[in-house]
Amino acid sequence: MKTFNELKNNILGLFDDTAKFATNNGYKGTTENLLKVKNDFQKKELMVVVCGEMKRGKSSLLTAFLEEENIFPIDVNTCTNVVTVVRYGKTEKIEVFFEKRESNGDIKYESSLIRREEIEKYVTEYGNEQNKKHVNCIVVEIPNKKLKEGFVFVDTPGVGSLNFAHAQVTYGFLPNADVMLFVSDVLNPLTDSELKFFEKAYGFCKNIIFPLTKSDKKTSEEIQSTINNNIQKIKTITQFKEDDIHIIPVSSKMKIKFLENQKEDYLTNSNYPKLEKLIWQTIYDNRCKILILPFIKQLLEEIQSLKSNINVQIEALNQDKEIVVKLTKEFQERSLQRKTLLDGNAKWKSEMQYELSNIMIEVNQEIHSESISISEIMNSRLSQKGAAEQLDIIVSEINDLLSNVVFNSRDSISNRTLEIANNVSSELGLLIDVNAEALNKVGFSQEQKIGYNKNQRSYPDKIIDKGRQIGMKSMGGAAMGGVIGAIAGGLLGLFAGPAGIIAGAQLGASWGAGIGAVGGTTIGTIGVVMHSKDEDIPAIRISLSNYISRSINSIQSGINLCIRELTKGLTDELSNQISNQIQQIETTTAQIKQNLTLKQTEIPKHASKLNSQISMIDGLGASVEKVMSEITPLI
Amino acid sequence: MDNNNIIQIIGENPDNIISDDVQQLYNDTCAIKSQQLVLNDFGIQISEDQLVQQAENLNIYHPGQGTSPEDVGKLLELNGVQCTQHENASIYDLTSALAKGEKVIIGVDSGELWNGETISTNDLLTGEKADHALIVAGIDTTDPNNVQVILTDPGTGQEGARYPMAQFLDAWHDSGNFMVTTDVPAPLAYNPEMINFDYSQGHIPYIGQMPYDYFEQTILPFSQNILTDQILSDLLSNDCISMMQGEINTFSPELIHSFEHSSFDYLLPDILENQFFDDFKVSDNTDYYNDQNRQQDDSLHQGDINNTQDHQHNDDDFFNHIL
Repeated sequence: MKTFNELKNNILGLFDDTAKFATNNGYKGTTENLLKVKNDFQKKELMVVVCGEMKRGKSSLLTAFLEEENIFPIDVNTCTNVVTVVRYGKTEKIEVFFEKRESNGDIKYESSLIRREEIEKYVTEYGNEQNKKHVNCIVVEIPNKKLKEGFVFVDTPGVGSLNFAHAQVTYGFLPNADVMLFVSDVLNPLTDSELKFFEKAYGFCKNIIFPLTKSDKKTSEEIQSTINNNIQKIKTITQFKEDDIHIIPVSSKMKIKFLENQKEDYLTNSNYPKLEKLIWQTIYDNRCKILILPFIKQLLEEIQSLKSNINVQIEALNQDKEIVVKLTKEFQERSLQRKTLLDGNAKWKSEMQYELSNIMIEVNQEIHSESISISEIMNSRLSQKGAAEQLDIIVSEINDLLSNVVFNSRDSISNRTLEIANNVSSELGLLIDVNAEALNKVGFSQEQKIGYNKNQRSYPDKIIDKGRQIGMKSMGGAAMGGVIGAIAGGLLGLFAGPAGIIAGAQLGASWGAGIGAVGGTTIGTIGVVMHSKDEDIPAIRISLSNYISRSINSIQSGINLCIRELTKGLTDELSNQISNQIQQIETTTAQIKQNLTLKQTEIPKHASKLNSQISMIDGLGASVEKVMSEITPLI
Repeated sequence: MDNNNIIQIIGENPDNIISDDVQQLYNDTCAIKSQQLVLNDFGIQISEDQLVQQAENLNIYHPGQGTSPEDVGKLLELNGVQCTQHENASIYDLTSALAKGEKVIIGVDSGELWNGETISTNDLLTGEKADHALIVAGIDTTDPNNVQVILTDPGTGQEGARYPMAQFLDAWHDSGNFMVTTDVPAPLAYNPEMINFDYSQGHIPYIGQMPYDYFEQTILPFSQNILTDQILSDLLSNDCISMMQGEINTFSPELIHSFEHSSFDYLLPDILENQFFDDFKVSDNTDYYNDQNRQQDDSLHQGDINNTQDHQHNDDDFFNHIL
């Protein structure tokens, strides 16, 4: 069986060879598409997100696991809402990104290179109180062999019932998590707030490991009791069988001691070898699915598209010249008509903008209703006797409700936008496969000739057929879904970092800023509230009302930005798809017209060349199919 | 006109040296190596191993199994060098390709080529078939009694291996006279030996002493028409080599007579119309030919024809008569 790197290199070779074929045979658009997908493929990383409540030992765990000092500083106070992303680099490079709000509400990013020892000045409350430095994230590149195959580790801020902003930052990363390390400790079984957070996190990522830190602080019996307790709680939330819930007790302290003096006893007692084995196993089990499969599917589509185009030419050579001339005329007219869709004031753009603005209005109305409910619940709780003693529970409940508002808004926007995008695609004719239509017009029977294996329907054929069945080229659909998912997904969190922080991910460019504005001020507000007494309830009511109001305002502000981004993102993506279709039409037309100029005596030779091209394309398709069969058992 | 000192090479004439740059790396990569050498001639620097990987990706090569003839040329196409496959090609087609500066890869029976076996051991076991691909660099007609084909052979690593025409034709025949030619001549930038090649014309001006245009417009079409007729093919071969040697500038009476009495007699008007080319001065030793012309074809007896039929030649072997 091939190693992962051999498979990856094999696929890169297939991308190169297909692109070469496309270039040398005049398929410029295909070459561009292939190089773009190949570029994404090369940059794609597998992201391991480390999350959990504050003070559970996340930073120590990453320090001990990656065996790197001073990258994940441990703070005795509440940590800031700063994310640390660690990836492989040939030389060490640490870049801190700062947010800068523009007058129009947009966020710009500036960055500075810092030394490893300076990280704590930016990510701890000690060095950066309430994130007054407006740090968005820190990106660390280190020559650590463990990261070399494209694995990225993300240290997220500790979530907690009292910290809405921190939770939102972490939620913002979860849509990109391929593997999640949900960190808790042996001191307490999972708390309600941890479970609530976990329940949401589980919605995004099913590859979860549960490191149970601080194992040196309890006896093995006590640890086992905590493990059993946690398993029961996790089972209530997930579909996991008991054997699939991997709770691994570890002592980062012991592992770090081992690193200092290399005494094997410390390593054994740390139990890190077991955790590391499990983490790598989980990563290896998933990397083909995450790092290879999506790209190889796109490669197959491009190969199939090339084959369709060549088939069009072959069939056109065999057809009555008049029919072919008529076809080229139709295509030319369509190309001109398509070009009008790219005008700045094209009707579809304003119609889509109108539909999206309606979504914004409706979602904002829903949020307004929900904010009234949250305020009523807050007033009701505060009216109860002994409310001052239960302020942490009340704040936690409010934060959960606010989080739900964000989640519900995201789902609502995603679903409705996708529906609009699909309708627009359909109306614009983007679902039509130009070459398939041309083949149909020249009387070509796809049943007989599409596919690499004459006798047996192959896996790639099935995938491609499936793409056809849903009526949309999957690349186009995926791209649209990607735009919507990325931008609407940004609603979940504060994090909307500079482009490229997460390779391959498309985070909403400006979203996050809205809720982000809450961060600094609300933490302070909650801090005051938490130290109040019964006689302060009227003042608390005002503070919490303000807190809810600010939070709702920030969510609404975020939604407005999100819709703006979606309008721009979808317009760009649909325009891009129209351009691709025009290019495809023009390529097909040009090739058919070129063939019309052939002398009768030249036709057999040209047909032979085209058949040879089909044979080459089939060869490439079969090789992709072979790789697919090699990775299928690994998925 | 004395032709003895005229070097008459169609195509290239590399030294007969063994070179690591020519030697194939693996037992079954002759076709891949041949394509690499052609790609290099077109300025595309790519290693044999890279091409092996490409060939595996195209599903046209599996280690230990080599490359099928129908897949030879696909690596050229993939890397941007357009080419054409020919089955049942003739020596005229090969000559034409070389005269046009095209690169030529052919299939041969290596046993017959390297060891001079009329029927190789392999042939006895599996029937006549080709097992090797190589490049035809040129044809040397300098010595009419020993016309040689110059091969760049990845199997032996020889850049300019020379073989007698008959031996070459026997070996080539086993591939069904398979040939892959590039669609355009190799560029001068990577082929300094092409310095005198007229790229605007697209071919060398003369094949030996025969103007290329005459070859292309007269000899080549006739050769394709009469491919199935052994007698006519042999006579055309005779005439062709004589023309290349500068001995004659028109078809021989023997050929014309044979046409009259063959199923290809409908071609006769064309032959008579095209039987002279003007921009060629026939050398002194063609007096015999002119005398023969005067004698007319009545003198050609049926027995002569029978004798000609006795020759065991390949269909397209116009050189065999002078060997």
